[in-house]
Order: sequence, then structure tokens, then C-alpha cells
Amino acid sequence: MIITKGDHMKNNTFKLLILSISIILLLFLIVPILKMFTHSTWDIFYQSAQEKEVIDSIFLTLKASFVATLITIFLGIPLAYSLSRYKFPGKFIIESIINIPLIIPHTAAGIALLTVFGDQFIGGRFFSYLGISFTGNFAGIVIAMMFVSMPFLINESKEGFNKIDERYEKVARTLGASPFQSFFKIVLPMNKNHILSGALMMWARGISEFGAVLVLAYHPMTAPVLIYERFTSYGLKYSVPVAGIMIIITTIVFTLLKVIQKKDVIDD
Amino acid sequence: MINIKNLNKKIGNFELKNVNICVQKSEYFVILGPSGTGKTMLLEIIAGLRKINTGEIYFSKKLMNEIEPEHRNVGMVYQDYMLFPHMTVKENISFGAKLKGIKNHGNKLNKLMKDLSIGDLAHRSIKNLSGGERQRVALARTLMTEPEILLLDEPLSALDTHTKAKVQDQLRNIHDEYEMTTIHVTHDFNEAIHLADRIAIINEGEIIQVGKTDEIFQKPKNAFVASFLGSKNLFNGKVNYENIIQMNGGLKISALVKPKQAVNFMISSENIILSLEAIQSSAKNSFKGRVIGINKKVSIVEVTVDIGINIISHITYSSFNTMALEENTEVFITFKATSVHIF
Repeated sequence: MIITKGDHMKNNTFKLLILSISIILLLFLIVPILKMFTHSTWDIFYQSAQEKEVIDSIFLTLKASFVATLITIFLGIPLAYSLSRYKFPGKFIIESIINIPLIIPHTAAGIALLTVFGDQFIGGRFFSYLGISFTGNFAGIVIAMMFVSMPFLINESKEGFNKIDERYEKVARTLGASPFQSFFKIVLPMNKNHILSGALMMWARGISEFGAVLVLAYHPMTAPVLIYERFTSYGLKYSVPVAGIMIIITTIVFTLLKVIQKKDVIDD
Repeated sequence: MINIKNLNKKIGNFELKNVNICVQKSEYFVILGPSGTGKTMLLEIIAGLRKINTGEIYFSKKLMNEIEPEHRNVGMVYQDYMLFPHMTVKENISFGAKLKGIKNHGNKLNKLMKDLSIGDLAHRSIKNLSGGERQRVALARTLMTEPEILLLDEPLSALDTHTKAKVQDQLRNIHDEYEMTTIHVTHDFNEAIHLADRIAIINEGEIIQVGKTDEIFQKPKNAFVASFLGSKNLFNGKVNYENIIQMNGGLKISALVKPKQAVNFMISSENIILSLEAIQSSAKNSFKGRVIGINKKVSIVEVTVDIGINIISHITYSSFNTMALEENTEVFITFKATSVHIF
């Protein structure tokens, strides 16, 4: 085929058009974030970063989401494994249910949780025997974060399990491994990266949760709630630094995530 | 050693039907059949990785049906080896031996790695091993656990021709050295000829024929076996009078056969004599025909002759050259009535 000058022109026009359109959306994403950092003065930024209330709320947020993620690793990996390996009737319904937290308004998720874990309801009463309450405290924040962000961990782990040929487990069995040994020595380590990246996604999503946390536990204040409160009580200027710090933290988490995803052993 | 009785297993639309196999101790037993006929499933059943619907599996007279795979002392090597990607070569090989608490496993590991010439690979990641190396690592990993029975699922099919020939010899050597009862599953009859003491032919979940290699090749039980083994000259006809097969189109073939409506038969290409003139002999079948096809193979020439039916004869290159055969050459085809194999 002879490539004429016209063809080159057409190719270039196409490229130019695609890139220009891409840039519009990128600007929409990047400009507000950058603008936020320039909106506030470094002074206020610096001051906010040293305020006890701000520091406490950020640590509380990171810690609560971390605990939620740990609990979900423990409970969610068996679920992800079952969904990947076993066939049972109504499986696809369960898979849809798992994704419900992604699509419902998170305030609604908070309300739903309240009807079970609220002090006057059955789940709440059961746990109050054990001395645990879920409203207006750390435990409430944890279950709110867990509920809305667990699909990330479960789905990602399930994807990982799906990629692992069942015959690895079969070979392990013939080599003398019990089902438990083949799970802990073969399948789990092979799925390490998927679980880790699912956990990071879940953690990041938990950190940014606002709606459900607001309903279950306005206090102690997590960072997103604090941002909201500062905005409504003191205005834009005072909410911006906290928001900025949160964005920096979540960006770091996601960069880590990308590094891990690049190292996936199963994909090789 | 391995005795499978009336085994039935159904998964979805697929079914293993009434499988009966008896494998002797230290035998190299090949299960040969087309893809998707239940060969791998059968191996997994023997390994205990799949439960069966009905039937019994015995290892040396012990009923194994309910025994878990880790307690069967069976080694399995899959087609694509299934080496654990998160372990080094050495870790892979010692995985099972550690679990099973094999004594002295360090020495055994070194010997095996040396025997299989993978000693240099010990600390390599398995990601950058060649196909042949992976194969040997997978074998070593299995052999380390000292299995009584070795199950090989298409172990050569992922290898290139050159490596395949080498690994094939290696498999047979390992089998002979360790005297391990081996069941090898494949769709390639060349592999079967090379390796097997006995062969079982499987099709659509049923064992069609079990026997020594030459037995199966010379006396295939039915047309499927014959055609799967690459046999030529498969025909059908009917027998109105004893010892005469009547073909469509009027051709009559002498064979040892009782009268019946439909008969399938095979005339082995090696048993057909091709000549330029009619020959006087004890052979009952002699026909005049015309060469319609010449297909040159590595060591023989496959000549197709139209005698009313298209019949294939294998002749050597020297005969081919002496006879100066070309398409349309008039020739005679001769074979004995006893060379006609009736199914």
C-alpha cells in the first residue's frame, strides 16, 4: 500500500482530535484539585496540619478504615474463594448483592445499618451485651466503612482466585497437601497481589466514606465529616486544608496500588 | 496394581461409562483417545481429585473410593505442568517431599535434579524456564514424593518435536529405573507406540479396546479404533455367502467371514502387494486397477489404486522406482483372505 500525504494528514487529524477531547476531561479532574491547593494560603494549610482536631480526625479515619479492611480480609476471602470455586444455585444473585453498596446512596447504606446495629435493634442489642455499641463511636465508623467499601476487596480477590487454575490445587493435593495446606501454601500466596490491591482499594474507599459514617457516627469526627463540618460552619477557606491533606494521602495509597498491580505474579 | 471396576461418572452432558481397567504393577499403560473423551477426568478420578458416581477403584486390592488424594500416594503431572509460580525451582521440587516428610530429602533432591539435568536451575524462578525444563521440574516434583503410581496427563503435548523425542525417552527411562506403575494419557498414537506396554483406547467416555500395542494395531476392535490409529483401507460390505464380501458396485473380496448383513473390515496397507503383472499365488484376492494417487512419505510411498474401490498400498522407494509408477499406470493388487481384518 502506498501511504500518501493525505493519509498522514488524516492520521494526524484523528490523533489531534482524540487527544484534545481527552484533555478536556483531564482538566476537569485536575484543575479543581490544583485550585484547591492554591485557594488556601500555605499558612492556613500549615496551621491546619498542626491542629489536634485535624490530626486526630485523619488518624481516626485511617485507623477505622484499616480495621474495617482487616475484618473484611478475614471474612471476605473465604467468601471470594467460594464465589470463585463453587457452583451453587443463586450464585449470580449473591454476586449482585455484594455490589449493592456500590450503587445505593451511602446515606441509605447508613440508614440500613442503623436498622440492624442501632442500639434499639436486634443486632445492636446483641452487641450491647458484649459491651459494643455501633452508634456515635469508633465501632460505628468501622461498620459503616466496611459496608460500603467491602465490594472492592471481595471482587478483586475473587478475580484473583478466578485467574488461578484449579489444577494448581489438585497438584498440591496429590503432592500430599490437605485442602487447608493447598489453600494457605498455594492459592493464598498466589493471590497475594490481588488481595493486597483489593485491600488497598477498600482502605482508600473507606477513608473517603462520608454518607454512611455521617448517619452512624457523626462523632468522633472522621476527616470527611470534619471537612463537611468546617465547610458548613466556617466556610470554604477552612475546609480546604483538611481536604487537601486527605487528597494527598489517598493519592499516595493509589500510587502504591499501581505499583503492586504491576507486579502481579499470576498475570505473567 | 490398579483395578477399576464398573466405574461411572457423569458431569453435565459428559459421562464415563462402565470403565473397567486393570493396570499391572510397574506397567507403562497408555490411555489413547481423541480430545474431550474423558481421559483427564479418568486420571483425576484415579488420583482421588474427583468423586465417582458408581464403581470401585482398588490399589493392590485396597478399595480407594473414599481415600483423599493426599493419602493415595499417586503423582500427577499435568499437560501444562502447574508449577507453583511463587516458588523457585527447588522450592517447587521439595514442596511435596516436605509435606510428606520424606526422609533424606536433600540428597534425593540433588540426585533427582542431577538425573533430570536441572541441577543448575535450583534457584531460578520458574517464569523463565523453557517448556522442556518445566516438564522436568514437574516430574522431579512428583518423583520426590516417591509415588507408587505416576499419572501423566498429555505430558508431551506442549513440547516442540525435538524436545518431545528426548523427553519421551526420559519418561520411559524414569519408568524403568523407578519401576513405577505409570498411566499416561495422550491423543498421539506415536507416543503410545513408543512408550506403552499396553494401550487402552477410549472414545466418548468408553474404553473401546485394551491390549498390547501390536495387538491393537493389527487387530483393531472396530472402525473407530482403526481410523484413530491412522489405518487406511477401511471398508464395509455384506456377506451373502460364507467367505465372500460383496461390495457396493459389485466387487467381491475373499475373507474368512460368516454370512451377515453388514460387515466392516480393514486391509492393512503393508499386506497389499502391488505388481505390474498378475501374479500366480495362493492369495485369494487379485484385482486389476489403475494408480490414481502417489503420496511420498518419509520412508515409504503410499500408492492409491482404483480397483472399483480406492485401496492404498505401502511400498518402498526402491520398489517404487523399479516399477516406475505414475498416475494411470495399470497395476495388480494382491492380498490374502487372511489379511482382511473383520471388525
